[in-house]
Amino acid sequence: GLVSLCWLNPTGKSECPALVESSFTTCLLLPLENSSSFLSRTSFYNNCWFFPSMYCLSFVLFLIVFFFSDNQIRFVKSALWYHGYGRPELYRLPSDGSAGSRELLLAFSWLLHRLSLLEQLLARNRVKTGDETSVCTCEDDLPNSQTGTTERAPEYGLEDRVDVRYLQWLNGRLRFQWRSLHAQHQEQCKLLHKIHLFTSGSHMDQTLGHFSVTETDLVRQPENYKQLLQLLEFETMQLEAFLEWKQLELVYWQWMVMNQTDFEGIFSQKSTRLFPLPFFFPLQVKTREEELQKEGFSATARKIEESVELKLLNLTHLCAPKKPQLHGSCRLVYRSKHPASKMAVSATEVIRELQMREASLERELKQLQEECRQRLDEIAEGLDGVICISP
Amino acid sequence: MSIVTVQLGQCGNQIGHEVFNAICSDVHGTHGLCSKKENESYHDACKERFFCEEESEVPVARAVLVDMEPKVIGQTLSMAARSGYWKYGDQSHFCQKQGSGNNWANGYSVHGPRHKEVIMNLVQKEAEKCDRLGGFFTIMSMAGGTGSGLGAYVTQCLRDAFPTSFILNHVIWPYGTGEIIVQNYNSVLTLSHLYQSSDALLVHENDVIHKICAQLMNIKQISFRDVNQVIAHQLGSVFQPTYTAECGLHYSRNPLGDLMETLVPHPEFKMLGLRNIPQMPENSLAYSTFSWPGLIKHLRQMLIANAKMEEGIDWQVRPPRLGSSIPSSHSTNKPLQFNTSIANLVILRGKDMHSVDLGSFRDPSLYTSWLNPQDAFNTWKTPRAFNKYEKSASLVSNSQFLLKPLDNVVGKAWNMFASKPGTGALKSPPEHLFSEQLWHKTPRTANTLLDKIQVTVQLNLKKTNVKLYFKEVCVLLDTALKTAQASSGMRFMDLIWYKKLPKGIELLPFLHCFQGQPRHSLTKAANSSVGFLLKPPASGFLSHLCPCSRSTAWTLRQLLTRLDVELIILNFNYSAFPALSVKLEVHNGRF
Repeated sequence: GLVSLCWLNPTGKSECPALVESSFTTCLLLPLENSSSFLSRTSFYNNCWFFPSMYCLSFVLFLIVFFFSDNQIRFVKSALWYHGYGRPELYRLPSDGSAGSRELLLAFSWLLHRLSLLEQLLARNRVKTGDETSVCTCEDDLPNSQTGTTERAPEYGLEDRVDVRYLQWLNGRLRFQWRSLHAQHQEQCKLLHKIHLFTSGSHMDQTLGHFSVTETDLVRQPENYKQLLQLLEFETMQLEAFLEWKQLELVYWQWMVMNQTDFEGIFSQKSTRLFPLPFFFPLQVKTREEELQKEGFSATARKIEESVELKLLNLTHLCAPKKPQLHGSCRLVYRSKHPASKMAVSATEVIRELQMREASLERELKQLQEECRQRLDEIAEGLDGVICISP
Repeated sequence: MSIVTVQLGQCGNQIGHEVFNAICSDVHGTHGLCSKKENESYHDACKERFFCEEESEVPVARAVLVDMEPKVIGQTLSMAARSGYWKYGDQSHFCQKQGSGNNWANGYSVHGPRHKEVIMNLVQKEAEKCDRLGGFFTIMSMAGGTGSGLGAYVTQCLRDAFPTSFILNHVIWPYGTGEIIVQNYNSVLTLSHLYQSSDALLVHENDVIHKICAQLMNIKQISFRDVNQVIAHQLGSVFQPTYTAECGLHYSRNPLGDLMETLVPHPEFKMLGLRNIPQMPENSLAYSTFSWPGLIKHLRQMLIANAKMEEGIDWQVRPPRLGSSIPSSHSTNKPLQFNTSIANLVILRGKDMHSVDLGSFRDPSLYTSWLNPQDAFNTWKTPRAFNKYEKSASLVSNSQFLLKPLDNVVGKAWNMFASKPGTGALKSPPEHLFSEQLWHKTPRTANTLLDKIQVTVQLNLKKTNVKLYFKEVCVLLDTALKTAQASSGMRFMDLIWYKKLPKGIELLPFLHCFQGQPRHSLTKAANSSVGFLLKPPASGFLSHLCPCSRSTAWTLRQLLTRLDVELIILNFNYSAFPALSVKLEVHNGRF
C-alpha cells in the first residue's frame, strides 16, 4: 500500500526557510506615538516576560536581566551572531550584565520575529506520537565549492603533525559508527511498519487508520496514562498561552516601534547567510545560457554535448518554479488508498526527489574525485623515482 | 540484533554446525554462575543473535548452508536436527552434485555466477527475517575450491547487495603440510579478493588448533571433529553476548559493529588473530581453579611473544623500551620476536571479572607509534561464565600474528609458480649471469659488468607511453580469471598465450593484481630487490625503475616473453649501487 506523510502543524502554515518578513511591514505602517512612560514599559514586561513556556535562548535572555553570568552572556552573544544578528551595540555590552536591557529587548524581538521563536518552541514541546520522521528536500544553501579546491592545507609545525594513519583510523571508526546507526534506523523503520500493520483498522480516526507508537504503548501499559495526561495538559496550557500572546502581539510590536528609534534599521538588515535562493539562481542561469549559445556545439563532439545537456538539465531543474520544499518533521501514516487531503505528501514523491538529489550529489562527488586524482598525478610527476598508483 | 551465518564449503559447514552446537550448549548449560536475571538476559540476547523463533518449538539457526557436494550438508542438517535443541531451516541450504575439485577458479568464476541468484535469495530471506540485521559471518577454508573460490565470490555479492552491512569472514588457514597441492594458490587468491569486499578477516590456523588438541586437550587421535570443536569454542567465546560499554546496562546489540569499530577501522589492516585461555579437556575442568591475574598475565605474554597457546610461551620476549625505534625488517638478520599490535580486544567471561586489572594491556610499548592505548585497546565483559569455564579470557588481536604464515604461503605460491615446467627454462646465460650470487658475492665484478652491459627492450608497441601498456595486461588478467576454463589445474596465466596486447599498461597496478596480495604487504627485504628497466622504442631512454621482489620479477618475465617483449632483469642491491642512473642501456643479454 501507499505510505503518505501527513503534514501536521499546529499553525497550519508550511515552514519554508526563505520566509518573507511579512509582519514587520505591518508594524512600520502604524503611526508612531510619542509617549513612552516607564509605567507602560513595566506593564508590558508583565505581559511579555512571564510567558510560561519560554526557555532556551529567550529564557537565558530573561535571566541575564536579573541574574548575570559571564559565560551566559558570551553564549548569548555568540548564539545571536550565529543567527545573523548584526547590531554592534549588543556585542559591545559589558560581560557583567550591568547594562543593556534595552539592547536585549531589541535582540529578543528580533529573534521572536526572525526565527518564529515561539512557534518553534511549541513544535518542540509537542507530545510525540513516535511516528515522526524528519524530511529535508531543500537544496543546500552553501555556495558551490569551486573556490574550495584551490585552498591549501594549513601549514603545520612539527608539533602539530598528525600521523595520517591515525586519521585513517578515525575515519574508519566514523564510518563504522555511521553504519551501526544506519542499521539501528532500519530496525526502527521495520518495527514501526509492524506496529502500523498490526493495528490498522483499529483507530477511531478514519483518516489515520492505525495506532501511533505512543498509542500502542499506552494500550500495552495502561498505567502510563497519567503521565501522558500530564503531558497533554501541559501542551494545552502552552497553546492557550500562545493564543493569548497572539492577541496581544500587535500591541507589543506597536509599543516596540514607538519606543525603539532604530527599530526599522534592525529589521531591514538582511543576514548574509540566508540569502533567499530564488533571487540568486535565475541570474546564474541567464549568463550560462548566453555562454552556451556563443560556444556552438559541433556535431562530432558528442561527449561535450552530453555533459552540457546534463548540466543544463541540472540548472533548469534548479530554476524550476519552486514548490514548497519539504522541511521539518512529519508524521508517518500507513495508507493503502490514495490520500484525499491536500496536506499529505506521498512517500514515493519524496523518495524520487531524494534520489534525484542523490544522483546530482554523486555526479559532483565524481567530478571532485577526478580533480583530486589529476592533482595527485601532477604532484607525483614532479617527484623523482616514484610512481603513483591512483586508487 | 541478528547475525546471519553463511557456511561455505565442506569445512565451513562442519565448523558452522559446531559453532551453533557450542552456543546452544552454553546457553542451556547450568553453569552460568550468575544470577537468574543475568542468565535470562544472556539467553535472550543469544537467542536473538543466532536463532529465530518459529512456530516449531526448536529455535532455527540463522544460517545459510552452501556447498557444491550434497554429502556434508546432508550430514550437517541431520546432526543438527538430532540434537533436539536447535536445527537449521528446512529451506536454507543450497548444494550441487559435482563439487569444485579444489579449483579456485572453478568456485569463483564458474559456480559463483551460475548460482549467484539462488544463493543470494536464501541470504535475502534470512536477512529479512531479522528485525535488525547485525551483519554477516561467513565461514570458509582457504585451501579448498568451494570455500575459497565460491566464498570469495559470495562475499563480493554480499557486499554489493548489502553495502552498509558488516561482513566478517572467518577463514581457516590450511595446514603447512596440507594435502591439497594448490592450496597456496587458493589461499593467496582468496585473501586478495576478500580484502576488497570484507570488513575483517578472523583467522584460525589448522596447525595451531591441532597443537592445542594434542598438547592442551590431550587428544590422542585428533579428528577433524576435535579441531572443529576447539575452533567453535573459541568463536563462541568471542560472539556470545557481552557488555561492551563500561557502564553497560544491557547486552550489546551490535557485536559485529563493535568489533569492527575497535579493531579494523584502518582499511589496510584487516586480519585478526584469536587466542583463548584457558583451554583444557572437559573432565579436567572440575579439578582446576583459575585466577584472573594469572590468566591475564599468560594472555599478555601470548600476545607479545606470538605464542599460539598457553603452553610453551617464551617468557623472555619483552616489549621494546619506548623511544627506541622498532626494528624494521630490513636491517637485521634477527627474526622479529616481539609482536607489535595495532589494536587488541580482550573479552572476559566469568565471576569477579569486575576486579580484573588490565593495565598491562594498556602499555603503549605494545602498540604502534601512531595509535595510543585508549584507542587501541578495548575490553568486553560479562559475569556469566562460558561453556563451563568458571573464568575465561579471549583475545582478538589486530597484530603481527599472521605475518609469518602469510609470508610462508605467499612464498610457497610463488616458488611453485616460478618453477612449474612449461613456463620457460630459466637457465639461459643471461639469467645465470644475473643471479643473486653474482651480485652479492662479487659486487665489484658486477659493477664493472654493469658499465659494459646494454639492454634494450623491444616492445611490439606503437605507443610510446609505457604507463598505458600494463594497464591492459591488468584488465586482461582480470578477464582471464573470469573466463577461466573449468579443467582443474589450468592456471589463469596460461590463457595469456592467446591474447595480443594492443595498448600499454601501468606497471605496478599489474604487479598488484598479479601478486594478489594486499597492497602494503609483507614482501621481502631490500637485499633481494630487483629492478626493471624498460625502454619504449621511440624515446630511447629508460623510463621506469621500480623495485619488486625477485619472484615477481621472474614471473613478469614469463609473461612478457610470451607477449614478444624482451626484458632483462637486473638483480642488484639498491644500497650498493645508488648511482644507477638513467643512462644505462642493456642489449639483449649480449655483451
